[in-house]
Amino acid sequence: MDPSEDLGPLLAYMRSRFHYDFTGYAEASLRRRIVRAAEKLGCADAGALHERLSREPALFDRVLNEVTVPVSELFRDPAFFRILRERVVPYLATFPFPRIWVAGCSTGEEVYSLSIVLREEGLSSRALIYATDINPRALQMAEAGIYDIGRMAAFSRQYQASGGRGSLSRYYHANESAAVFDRSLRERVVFADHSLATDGVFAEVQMVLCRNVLIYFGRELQDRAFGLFADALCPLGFLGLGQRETVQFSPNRTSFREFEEETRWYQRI
Amino acid sequence: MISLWTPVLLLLLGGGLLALQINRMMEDADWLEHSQVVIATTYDVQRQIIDQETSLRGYLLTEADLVLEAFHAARPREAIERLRALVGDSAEQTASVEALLRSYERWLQIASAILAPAADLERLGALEELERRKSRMDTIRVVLGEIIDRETELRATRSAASVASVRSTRIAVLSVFVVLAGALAFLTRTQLVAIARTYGDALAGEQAIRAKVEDQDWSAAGVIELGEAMQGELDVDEVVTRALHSVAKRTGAEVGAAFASSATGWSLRAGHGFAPQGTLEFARGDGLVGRSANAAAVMWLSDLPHDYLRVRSGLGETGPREVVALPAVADGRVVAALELGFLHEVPERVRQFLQRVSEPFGAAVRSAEYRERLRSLLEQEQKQSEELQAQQEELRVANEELEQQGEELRGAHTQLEERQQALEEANAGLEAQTLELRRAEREITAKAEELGQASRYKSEFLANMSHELRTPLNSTLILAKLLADNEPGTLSDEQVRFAQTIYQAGNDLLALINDILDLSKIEAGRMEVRPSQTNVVALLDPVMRTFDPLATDKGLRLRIDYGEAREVPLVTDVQRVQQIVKNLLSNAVKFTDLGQVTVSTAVVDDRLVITVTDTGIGFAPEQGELIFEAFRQADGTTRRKHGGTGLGLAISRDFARLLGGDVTAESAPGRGSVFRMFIPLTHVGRTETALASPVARPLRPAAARSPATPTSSNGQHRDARHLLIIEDDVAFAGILDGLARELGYESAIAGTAALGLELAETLLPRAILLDVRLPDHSGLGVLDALKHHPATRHIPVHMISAVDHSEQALAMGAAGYITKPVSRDDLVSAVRKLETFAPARRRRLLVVEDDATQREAVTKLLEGPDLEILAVGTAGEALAALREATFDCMVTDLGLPDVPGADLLQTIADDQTLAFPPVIVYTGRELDEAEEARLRALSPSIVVKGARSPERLLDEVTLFLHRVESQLPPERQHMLRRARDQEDSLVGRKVLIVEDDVRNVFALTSALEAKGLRVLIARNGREAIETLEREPVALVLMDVMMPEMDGIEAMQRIRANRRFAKLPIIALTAKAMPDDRERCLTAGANDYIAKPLHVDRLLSLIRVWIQPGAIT
Repeated sequence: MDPSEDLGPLLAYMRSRFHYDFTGYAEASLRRRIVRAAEKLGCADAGALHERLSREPALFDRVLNEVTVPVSELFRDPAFFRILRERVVPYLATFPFPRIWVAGCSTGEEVYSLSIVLREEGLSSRALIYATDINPRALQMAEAGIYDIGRMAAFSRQYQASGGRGSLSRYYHANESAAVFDRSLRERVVFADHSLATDGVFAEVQMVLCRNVLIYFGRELQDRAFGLFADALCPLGFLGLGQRETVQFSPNRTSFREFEEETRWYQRI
Repeated sequence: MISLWTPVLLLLLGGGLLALQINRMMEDADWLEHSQVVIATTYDVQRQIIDQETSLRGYLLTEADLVLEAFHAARPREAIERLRALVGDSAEQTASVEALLRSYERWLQIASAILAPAADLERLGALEELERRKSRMDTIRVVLGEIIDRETELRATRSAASVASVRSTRIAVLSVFVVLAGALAFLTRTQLVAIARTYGDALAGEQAIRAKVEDQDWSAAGVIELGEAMQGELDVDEVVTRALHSVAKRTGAEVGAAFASSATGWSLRAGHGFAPQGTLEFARGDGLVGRSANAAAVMWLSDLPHDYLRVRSGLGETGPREVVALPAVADGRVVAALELGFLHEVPERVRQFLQRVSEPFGAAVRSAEYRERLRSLLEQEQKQSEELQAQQEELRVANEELEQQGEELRGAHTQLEERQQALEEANAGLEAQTLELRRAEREITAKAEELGQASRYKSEFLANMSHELRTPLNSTLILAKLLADNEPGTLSDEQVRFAQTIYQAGNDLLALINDILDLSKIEAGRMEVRPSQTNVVALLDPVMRTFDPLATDKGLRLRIDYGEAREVPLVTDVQRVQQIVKNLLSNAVKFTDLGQVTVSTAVVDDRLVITVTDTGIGFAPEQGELIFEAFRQADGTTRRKHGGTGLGLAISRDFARLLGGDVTAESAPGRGSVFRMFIPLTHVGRTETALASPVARPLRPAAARSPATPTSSNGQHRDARHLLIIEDDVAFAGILDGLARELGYESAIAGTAALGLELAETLLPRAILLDVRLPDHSGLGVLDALKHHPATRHIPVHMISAVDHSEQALAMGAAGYITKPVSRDDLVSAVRKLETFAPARRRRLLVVEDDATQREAVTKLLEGPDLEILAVGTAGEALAALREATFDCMVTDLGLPDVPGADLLQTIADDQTLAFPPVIVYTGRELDEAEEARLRALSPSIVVKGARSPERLLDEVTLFLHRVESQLPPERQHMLRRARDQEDSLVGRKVLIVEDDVRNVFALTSALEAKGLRVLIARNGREAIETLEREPVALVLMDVMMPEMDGIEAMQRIRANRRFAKLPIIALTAKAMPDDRERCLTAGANDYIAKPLHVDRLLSLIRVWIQPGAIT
């Protein structure tokens, strides 16, 4: 594909036809993923993909799945979860009914990790989690809570490394090919379709987890997301970001302070 | 003498004391300034070290040499040395500075090692190193803080000491004066004058020194103040802004502006005492600022023209007296500038102060510049890091996919192997079966061959036999004839009779042999048809002539009636037809002893019918078929009486069938018989045949339909579930046709737009599938025509096309749009979707209103594209209309000329034969409670006429007809949307807020309660339903995203209860996209508002939806 091909028409089409707005996404990565999606559908370039989509709108589902990079794991970056468990959750426990927004929850790994930590730290009955994503297929998978059995060993290791108490296997039931997480872990979880690119704040929350989502955004879209988080978080609420993400270069940086810079934990001020 | 020397001595003493005091004062002042210099220097050290630190960090992250500029520019060591020299007076401070120097040296050592070109440190290691240095840097910071604190303390004590020394000086001067006063008596006037002058000078000197000390103090405090203002990680704008405000405050400047370096010169960054409007730029060297910057020196401009610059205050305005430009100089380079305007003359100390701050200001700006540059580099770095992470994530996805694919591949491989195995087994089985089949086939073929052989043998045998028989028979016949003729007259009469009998019997035998031969030929499939052009007369006349004598012999009348068939041309096998007719005639003559034999011809349905009627013995109807079987006659005795082989009819029928016709018979014993023979006027098809299936079925036209043919023959059946397919692609139309049938539709196919429209109008199908590209016209044109024809505009049309015109089509009224290629499932769902539209019978509304103008107005108000309104003026007309048809809704006035409206409703309700539609009472009359109670039993809604009743009426009708608001014409939507009743419609009404977000609940509650609404709160869908069951509510505000039961589900459940069918629900959602709105409306919301909530907008929505006057 021509690296200078204008993605504009395709993005505009996806926005007007399917109501998904990727215009503010980081160009290089978005281009790669669109190329990939095009290849998978046997299209030569973005223009061909556009044409194909207009003929077969049903294919958009697959394109969306390619473009949104649904990848995650349980207790990813154990150090992050250790800080969550040891320093953030005790703080959160001082709020009467802590609400947590997992923005860009993808296929739900983060949600279950969080839910497990909350349960082990005795906060699960009081806390409520909003898990949002733009990809309905990913949301469905998140709600189902079924993961490939092959991934569970790595998940268990990370769970242990993050300070997990006991064995991860307490929380899932497995057969030879898949593991399904205990449904009680999602009792207090609201799964919803929400776009950081177009939608607004829906509730006041005490913590926002948005990990490895902003890396796909352009600077302006990142600023928009940080603005949403700043609006949604109550004073002293927490913001947890991915390993390579920082609030440091956003105009909204003045709304946050470092809580644990190493693991990218910030606090609303 | 003593008296003379005493005052002198006292004077000397006093003077000495004074000098001592003044000296102390000066020393104190020096120390004070010293302290300030120490603090300023310490700040400088700190700034320089931080510059180096940030620069180094930046370098390690970005590896940009540019960043190191700041590292090399900073000279912290020199600053520390200066500091060390300055604090020599204090052992503690000296120790701290020594410690500082050591820490810095160690830090610098590591830093230099990292920077040394030879050192090829791992980047990661370097960063770790950097972290270690950071902690060292922290100790440096602590030490610096200590020095500053201690010096500030020293300064405070020194300041106090200075004050004390001033005080003691005053005391000293005062005591000297007292002594002087005492000595005054002893002194001469001249001495006194001299002494006074001396003391006056001393006092003036003291005052001058004090002023100087104060100025220095003031100036130094200003420098420190400025330094503190510019502390922190600030950017250039912030530094110059803070510097401007600090300097303006200190110097008392009324107005001021801060400029920083821009691409082309100097640009305005901040204002003091005025609000900068827009941007202001000076080219380098332009204006006072530019000149000052060029000169790198403070510049003054006094005695300005009066209108140079206006300074406004609350009381008036004036122009500044003096303007000064202050450049921020760093390393001889000007990095920023301040311009200050003064209303008064500027005192000297301000000038000195400004001179002093130029450097520290410059240093701070330069630091900020470095920081900005570093920040932008770090930001780039961050972007790269994010990009890297994104790539890694993508790689992970790709990897996972690959693994999964591998897994799947393995799975598929195993499956394939299994399948292969199964296939092989199946193959083996199949092979066996095939072998078996082949064997069976071979056997069958062999048998068939044997059979054929046998048949051929039989036929050959028969043919040969006939020949063999006929040859001797011929001779027998000739000889018998010769004998019977008895030419020589040698035979007796009796002998002649014998010979005649032999001859007769021989002839019979010959006929029999010929018949057998024919039959066997037909059976062996060797009978040929030789069609030729002829006509009925040519065909039958010879036969008739043959039989004429025979009939005459028997005394029978033989007649032929050609009828209208006489002139009809005929293509058939003449010989065979004649043979059949001969056979039929010979039978007729044979079995008729009295009366007549009639032959008649006619043409029916392209067939020639030849009827042979006789008045003979006939046969029983049950024998009607038997007589056509070979070797059978009506009964055994018949043959004996009448002779004949009995093969004739069988052969006749076979011949007739061979020719594409048939022979039938009807008769009753003793009443004659009628034989009818049918043959096609034109012989078609088989010129040679095997009559395996002797009953030739009249072939129906081929099942394939041409695209332009309605496959339903009967277009009048409007109740049938017709689906009209307008599509020119025959193959695709066939697919659609099959699908439609599968789904229980009768389908009709039109290949052109014209035919499509015609069929649509005549068939009035339930739904139409329409292709966009048609040979004669665009599908969109067809759609347009359909939608503009009153008879067809309600029919749902689904467009199918290779090109996407969906927006246009949907705007024009298509029910749906699919783009080719389509999957079967798409089609099925499209047709199903049409089915849901199918009851799109136009809705009918009855309006009963006696006043013609009102009637007109109501009709106009309620008009809609799929709504048929019948407006009548009396109860009688209304009843008649209700008898005539059913209505979906009825709007009635109460004051009707013939019967009161309430009675009309009662009549309709009581009459079981009438369908009672939902009624909206629309009245201008004031009702009392009893009336209302009676009416409410008959009508769910009563609208009292008034200023805002039209909106309400429209709402009501809309609800009854289940029409979504958006389907109404725009101006009426507008009317509906217009905020109606103001506050009074809201006061006391109950609103249920269903929302789990406390912040929103609070904001909403306060906003709504302020408007007099009563607020109930539910935290999720379940609680909302419980509340609704318990308490009547006028309106519900429903959040979409909630725990336990979300808004969508809650709305669906609420709507499922008929009681709440009309309850207005406004959905609150954070989603911005239109499909979310759709989702809410589908779930039952009446309207939708996006978060974050805009209170005014929400209130007008509530006003629109809350039903005025409804009891809640």
